[in-house]
Amino acid sequence: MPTIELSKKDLYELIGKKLNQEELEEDLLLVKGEIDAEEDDLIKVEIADTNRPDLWSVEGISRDIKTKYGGKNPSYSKLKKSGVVVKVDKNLKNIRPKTVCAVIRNLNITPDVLSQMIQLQEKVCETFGSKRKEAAIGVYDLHKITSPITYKAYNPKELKFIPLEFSQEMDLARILRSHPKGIEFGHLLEGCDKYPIFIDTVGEVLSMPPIINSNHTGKVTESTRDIFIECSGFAFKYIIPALNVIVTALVDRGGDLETVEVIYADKTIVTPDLKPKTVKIKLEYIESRMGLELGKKKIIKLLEEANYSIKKESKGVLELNYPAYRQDIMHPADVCEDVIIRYGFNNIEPKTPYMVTEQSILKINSFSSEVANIIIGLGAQEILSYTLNNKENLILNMNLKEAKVVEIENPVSKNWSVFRNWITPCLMEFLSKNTNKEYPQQIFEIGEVVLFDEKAETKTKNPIRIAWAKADKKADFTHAKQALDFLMNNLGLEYEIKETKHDSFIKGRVGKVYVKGKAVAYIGEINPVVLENFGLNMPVCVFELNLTDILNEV
Amino acid sequence: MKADDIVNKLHPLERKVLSSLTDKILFSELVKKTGLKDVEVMRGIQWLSNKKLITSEEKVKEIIELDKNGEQYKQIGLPERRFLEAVTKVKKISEIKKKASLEDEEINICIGSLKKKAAINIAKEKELIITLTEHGKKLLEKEFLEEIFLKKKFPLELNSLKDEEKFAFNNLIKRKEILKKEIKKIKTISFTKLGKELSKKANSGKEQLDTLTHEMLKKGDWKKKDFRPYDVSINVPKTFAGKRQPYAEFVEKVREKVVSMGFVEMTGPIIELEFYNFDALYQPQNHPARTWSDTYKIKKPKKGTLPDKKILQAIKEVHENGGKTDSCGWNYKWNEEIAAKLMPRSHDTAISPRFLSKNIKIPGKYFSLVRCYRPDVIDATHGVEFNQLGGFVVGKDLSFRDLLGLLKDFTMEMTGATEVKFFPDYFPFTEPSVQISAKHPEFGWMELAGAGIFRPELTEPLGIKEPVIAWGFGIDRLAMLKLGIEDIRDLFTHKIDLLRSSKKVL
Repeated sequence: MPTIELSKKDLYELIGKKLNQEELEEDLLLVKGEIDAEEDDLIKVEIADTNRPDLWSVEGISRDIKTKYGGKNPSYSKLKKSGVVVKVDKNLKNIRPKTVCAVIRNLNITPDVLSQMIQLQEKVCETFGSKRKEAAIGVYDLHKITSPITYKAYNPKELKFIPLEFSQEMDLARILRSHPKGIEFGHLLEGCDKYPIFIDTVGEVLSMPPIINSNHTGKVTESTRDIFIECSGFAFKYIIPALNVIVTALVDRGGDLETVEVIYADKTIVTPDLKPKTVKIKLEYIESRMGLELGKKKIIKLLEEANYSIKKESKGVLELNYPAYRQDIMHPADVCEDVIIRYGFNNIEPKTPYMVTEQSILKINSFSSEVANIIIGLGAQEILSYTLNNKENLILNMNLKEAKVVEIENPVSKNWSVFRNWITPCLMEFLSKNTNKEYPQQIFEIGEVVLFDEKAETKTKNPIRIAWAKADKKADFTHAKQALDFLMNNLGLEYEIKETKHDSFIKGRVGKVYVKGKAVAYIGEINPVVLENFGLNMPVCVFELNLTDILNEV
Repeated sequence: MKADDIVNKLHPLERKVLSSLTDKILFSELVKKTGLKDVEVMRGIQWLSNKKLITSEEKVKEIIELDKNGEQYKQIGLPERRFLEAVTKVKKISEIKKKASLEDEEINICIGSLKKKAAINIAKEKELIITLTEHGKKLLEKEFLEEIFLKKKFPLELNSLKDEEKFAFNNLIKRKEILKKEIKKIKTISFTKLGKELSKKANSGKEQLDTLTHEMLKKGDWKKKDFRPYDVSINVPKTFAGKRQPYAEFVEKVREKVVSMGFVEMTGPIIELEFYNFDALYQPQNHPARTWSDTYKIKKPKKGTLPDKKILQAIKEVHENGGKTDSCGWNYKWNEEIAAKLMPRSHDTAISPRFLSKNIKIPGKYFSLVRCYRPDVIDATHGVEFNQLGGFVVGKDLSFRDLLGLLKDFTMEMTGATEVKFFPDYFPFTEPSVQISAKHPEFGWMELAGAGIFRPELTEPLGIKEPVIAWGFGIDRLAMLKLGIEDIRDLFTHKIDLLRSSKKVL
């Protein structure tokens, strides 16, 4: 979730009221915000909502708080034409084909305004714009640009300009190679033979989106008054909200917003478009979803505080206008949440619904508990391991050549890169970490393993197994068989053991255990090669039994 | 305790040690005298010291002993002595070597040592020619300090050496395997006043029975004699019996508790279809949470089998344009291929759409408690994998107010909290969404649970018309608090000591 840094003084000026700490914390709940850190006048606010970029600046936060104290927000929608024109070339088609733009005049760019503008731009591109892929924003000094502007793709060596914070002209390929932003975001242009460029009518470059602005035109300071903004990407559904969020914040700062004509090959659009959007909602839907009968008057008041306005009302259906910077409203349920937040979660008295329901635990889980309780009767210590392990433990150290295991393609650590296909290696690993502790060590683990299963819808299955082991000077097959026998007798299961071959065990001292003809377990003495691999100098005997399989027989 | 009483309660080992004791006796001698094993004497000493009958003192001493070459030189003389004597007969180095039967490395030492003593002259011709000096001739008649030292009786204690002996020792210890120095702990045992008094009586008194045996019972021997009374307050070795793993037991208790609140348990596969993990939860396919860095991918198998066409179509529509719901949808082209991909389940909520799309009972309360997997960097608060507890409650007319009630009751019941507060939150599949903070008398305020009403875009395509309250609970965090664990990785500890000594959590 985004964390926004802001000045309390600045926030209170925008709200029009000074808040005490308690009021501030309370009011931040209106924007799903929580103070994360605080130093003098500066606070860091965590905004939980990753789908509301309009809240990621002090302007956006104040917009939703000031209404509580009677403050009003501008309508944003009556815009003058700036006269600036942007022509979009067809050759951007598979590169970065879309842009929307705006002009803002008469801005008083204070340090607060500048830092908030940069922060909002970064957060929007990072979180909402998927790290600049879906939306990248550029801000320019309008007076250094001569309209019409062209947005077009150029060959990597065709054009040169001085990138931001540099002093030397570079061609496009070199910027991608050696400018820090080129290195960081260059992958977004990978595979393109040409790169997107904003360039004005006298040949002054504005920027190469989504990488870097020009140092000349694309540098905004406290002395800049009029600015040009563009947002580029692939789809209007990302770049329009991104632009809207930025320009409304600047209007809140007193800027005069003006439109830009963006000319595509097939159509001309005028941006930004801040006409309110509409949504319909039944009063009854709000009340039933809330579980409170608030009444129309109260609901309308709360909606207005949440920056909705009533366009029409008839037969219990409200037709609402809401600001164009909101792009998160997909369903009346979203409007409903705004009403509830305005009402205050802690002002609602919780009610416990009376429900008659069934109750049950999964059979395999209650069975597993029973089995655990039987086995601790033998004196065994239960252990727990991760279901993620690695090939070295599961295969190599167990003296096996190969095994079918489900492997993670992008592991964080090689140690945890494969799902265990049996539990015995986890017990061996456990024993290997306790060689200087008192013996005998009798341990067991119950848990899931991951196996391939062509017939299953997920091509895998997760039976639950128990693995038991004893490490001791005298541990041998007899001990393992006694333990297994004790368990099987307690469960009332008859079984037989047939000799089998398994390289993890001593030859001739390993068996498969059958219940009603179905192989359900391994039992045996661990091969000294395996003991050596795990650094153990005590004999170990084990059994591993499939509980999912025998559950049906019990 | 009276003296006689103490004597009566002495263990046979204690009797043996006490009666064999003379004042300031060395441990090794005591072992010899008692004829017991080292550990037995040690145990006896420990017990007797506990009873304040004896004291023991441990000193560290540096002990010098003859090494392999030292033993040999004691017999045949030091190499430099043999060298010196040989020089009286022959001059060439090769001949000296032969005559004195010296090794190559010994030759060098001899020359060095004798040069230092000014006993020889060396001239170089085809080979080295050695002649005796006047002083050397005198030395033929005189013993070296080193020779005198070697004649002593070993072992010697370093501290007890005189100056000349120390000089010799320092010369010899540098040379190969003549002497060895060992640091030894020497234990001396002495009486206390009471101990000395009792030592005389230690073997007196009636003969007592020690361990009651099968034989005694068969023969009835025990009838004629008394049993030695034990010191019942004595420490005994620890025993390790069978035990549950504390976290496993905790998880089991949580499961039982949730069931007791009227819930039905659900489960699902570890390797899950992206369809259930994301798509059916109305997470768009280009959502950042679905990227490489936020979820695990698996190498094989790549794709699973999607559910029937009807559900697929409903999910596709709701993503693309809202379908039959009142939503406008995510407005993109939904891809079945992506939904069919397999991945390790990243949250327990993946299980909910599986059950919602089956014929569940309404009203109903459902939960799951399962392992989940995310590619987090592992540290004290992020494990390799983690358990999640969550589920849903479905019923006609359920509202946000009901959600708050259910969540409050549930949290208080699970944690023993006395007060709760609610905060607006954001989860991609619920609207509204809420976070609950609970105040526990011992642990203070904790954020442990999140909840919300499933978005209609999630429930309606699965055929559910009723509101569904979804909830999740931070079970690992609660386990850490309850079990007194600070590092989340210790929930899965591989230290047998920790498990053996763990306390039962009630």
